[in-house]
Amino acid sequence: MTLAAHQLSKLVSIVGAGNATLTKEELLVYEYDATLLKGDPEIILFPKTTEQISKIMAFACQEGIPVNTRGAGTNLSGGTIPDQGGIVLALTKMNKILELDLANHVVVVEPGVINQDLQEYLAPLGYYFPPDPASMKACTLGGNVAECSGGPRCLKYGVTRDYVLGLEVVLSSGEVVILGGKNPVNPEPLDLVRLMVGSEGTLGIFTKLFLRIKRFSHAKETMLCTFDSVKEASQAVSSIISQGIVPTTLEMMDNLLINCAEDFTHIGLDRTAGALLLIEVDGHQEELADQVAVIQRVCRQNNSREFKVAQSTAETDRLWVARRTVIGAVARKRPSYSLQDVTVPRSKLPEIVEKIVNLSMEYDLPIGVLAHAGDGNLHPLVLFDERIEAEVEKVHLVEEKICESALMLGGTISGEHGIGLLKRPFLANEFSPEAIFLKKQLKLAFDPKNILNPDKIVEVG
Amino acid sequence: MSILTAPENYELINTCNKCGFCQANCSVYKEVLNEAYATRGRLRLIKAVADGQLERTPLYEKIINSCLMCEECSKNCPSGVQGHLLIQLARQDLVMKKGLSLIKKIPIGTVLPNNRLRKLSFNSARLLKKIIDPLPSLQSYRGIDLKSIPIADEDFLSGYQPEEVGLGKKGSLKIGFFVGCLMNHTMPQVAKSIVRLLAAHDCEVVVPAEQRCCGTPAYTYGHSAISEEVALSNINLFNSLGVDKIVTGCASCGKMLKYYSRIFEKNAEIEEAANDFAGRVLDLSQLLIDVLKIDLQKFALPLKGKITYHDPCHLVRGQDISSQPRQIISGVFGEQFVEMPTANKCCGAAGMFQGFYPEEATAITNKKVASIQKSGADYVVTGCPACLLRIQGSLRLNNMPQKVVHLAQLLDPDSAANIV
Repeated sequence: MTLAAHQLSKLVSIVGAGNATLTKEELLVYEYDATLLKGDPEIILFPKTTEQISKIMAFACQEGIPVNTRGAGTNLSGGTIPDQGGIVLALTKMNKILELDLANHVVVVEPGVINQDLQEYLAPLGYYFPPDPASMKACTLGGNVAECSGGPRCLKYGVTRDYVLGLEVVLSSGEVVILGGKNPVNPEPLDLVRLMVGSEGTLGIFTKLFLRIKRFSHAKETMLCTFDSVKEASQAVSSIISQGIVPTTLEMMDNLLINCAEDFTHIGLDRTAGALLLIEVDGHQEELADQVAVIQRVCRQNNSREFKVAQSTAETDRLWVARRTVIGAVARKRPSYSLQDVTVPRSKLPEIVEKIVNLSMEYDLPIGVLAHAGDGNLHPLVLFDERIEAEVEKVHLVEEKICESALMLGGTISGEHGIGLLKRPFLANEFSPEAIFLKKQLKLAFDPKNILNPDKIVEVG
Repeated sequence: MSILTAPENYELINTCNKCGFCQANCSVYKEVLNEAYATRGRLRLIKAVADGQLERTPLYEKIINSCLMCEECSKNCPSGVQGHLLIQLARQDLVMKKGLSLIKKIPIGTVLPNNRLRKLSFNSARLLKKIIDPLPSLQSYRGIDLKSIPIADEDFLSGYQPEEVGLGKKGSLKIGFFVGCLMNHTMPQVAKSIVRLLAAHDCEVVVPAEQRCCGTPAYTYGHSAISEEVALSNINLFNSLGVDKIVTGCASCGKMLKYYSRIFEKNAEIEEAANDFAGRVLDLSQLLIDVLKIDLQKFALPLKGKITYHDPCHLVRGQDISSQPRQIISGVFGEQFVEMPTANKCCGAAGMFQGFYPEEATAITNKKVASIQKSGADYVVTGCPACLLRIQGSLRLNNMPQKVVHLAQLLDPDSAANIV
């Protein structure tokens, strides 16, 4: 796509010169996201109102211009890459918290509000928004809804989908619809809100989010447990859950990642451990002591090395910083990483980890294993240098093998990061041709001209 | 070819894996909400220039120069990318390829490094202020409250009389006092407090009049020839005095003085002297707490109301100093000490940043002002003259009554009596 001068000036006129840019410098910084992929944007627009977005879409629809909606650009599947050119619609300036309805546990926000900013707004009132992706300090809530983000707390509390009550959406035609709302019909027949959540910018542009919030639990306990091997740690995970305990969090890191995290945080993680589990339980104080005791016993049965309960909020916070920043911290080992998001039934965790370890040796690439172990969601991080072509090729082979393994074990290729461009080639391995056909039809029903994040998830063009 | 493509530098430019977490901490990005001003974006552009994909355009210069150098991105980058050092490198590259603009070149390259010219300029500014201060239309310029920038009739170094503060006597620790330009010309009373305080704690204080600018402005804007020159003369001067420690009450000076060892790490002739110098540099709060271990109980100062503390970037991140000043304030004033929210965020001064990017600087400072208001404090304490002036000015422009004082003033009975 190459936009003509009159098209560009029309788009600029909708948002005003201060909220649009065409400079080479600024186009360069909107070509990427947190993956290695790059696109070629032609204009960046920073709308401030639903009305402006509606006008942009009406024009884009009329002219057939691709529109790539973007928040903080922290996504891990290439979902915001403007690979077909056109418009990057950056919603970072729509960042107001519009309404708080504590009686009904609802907050209404614009899509550019940062996840952490909402948490900081709610915390003094005793509330929080459960989805907590690792990038929560930077990522936007609009992006969380578009990707149906998860996070460590999801094991107990569910993913973003479970917290979206309604959306104001600008359709590809420019029409504005409100789906659901503060007090939605439950269950809505042909639930459009649920369809929109996780649609990765392909069905509509969210301009207002009606989100459910929760009251903090009375108490929580955070535990750190180390093991000689990932295998033992994974077995401990299965055992904990089979005891009937549902922790809020059950996170695993392998030795490579323990070391990366320690390099950044210096909090005294055991660099020699084969794996660690970060476990958190919440609820009423009296039931927590029992749960901690059971978890400790189960870990010991699985040959745990050290078992520690955090003694202060500060200690808990330090453990969480280590966990949340570890993906970024791997660049200390090699400059590039490829991050997978496969999910397998929890009982298959030891098996997939073994396969990944074998792949790492076979292809001679360091692979770190990070997992939301409680729900079988793994983030294998393949480390390499994107400037070495031979390595890049090996990485692609390994990516494919990891996805294959997950599917063979009855899992899925994407737990929470979305499909975007990165996982698209693997979609046919997971879904039947009939299911993919239905997805394409669905996309075309909302966006017949294929201009909204065109050809992301499924190719329809 | 440029310094950006030198292998060791180019490798560093390539260490960012674009996770985007730097957006969370960048005060400038938070105002403009445009990726170009997040560290990830700035590094992308530096790489584009290094790769020959982008010219050194005016917009590129603006993006590179509109960084606070607050080091938040560097401290918070999971991969350990030193964003502020890479931006400094890009500024160095700009100076080498395009030179400095006059508006930076005159103060940075000519006036500040030259003691006589600097004195002359501050004196002229004082006379100019006498004319413009009464004019209502010139109360503030680009969000800077000119009126609350006091320029002393006589700068500290020119008027320094050891006898005046009861000095000249021997002490068990010999201290070289590095005053710093801003403290020297705008708050000589703070410099005097520091000298009195040290003298009262068994220190022999040496204040060499020939000391020069620490080099921060030149270094920050990439003019390394100047920063190296002043660094070398400061190293030679203080190393010749035989002092045990070199102490400053300016966060930026302290950070720079400690950094002298890095500046000369590849220069075999100077390296040793630079390390010798840098190894002795301490912030005032470090000296008081870590070395002198002063008895905080004995200070009975007449300050009423709540006291909060603002972390200067160049102390909390530049030198990893955050507990010593707090120990001092809470040690002396007990429960009068209250924390403000986000005490360690940049105040928006950032040297010349406030003048070049008034809109962003004002928004950033107003957040600091709001934090101070939230804390309920009557006094704001800090350890950096630039932060002090910026915050005091913005409080006044916002019609807020709080007073901003230097840590040293809190501990000096003569001074504390004056600020009540």
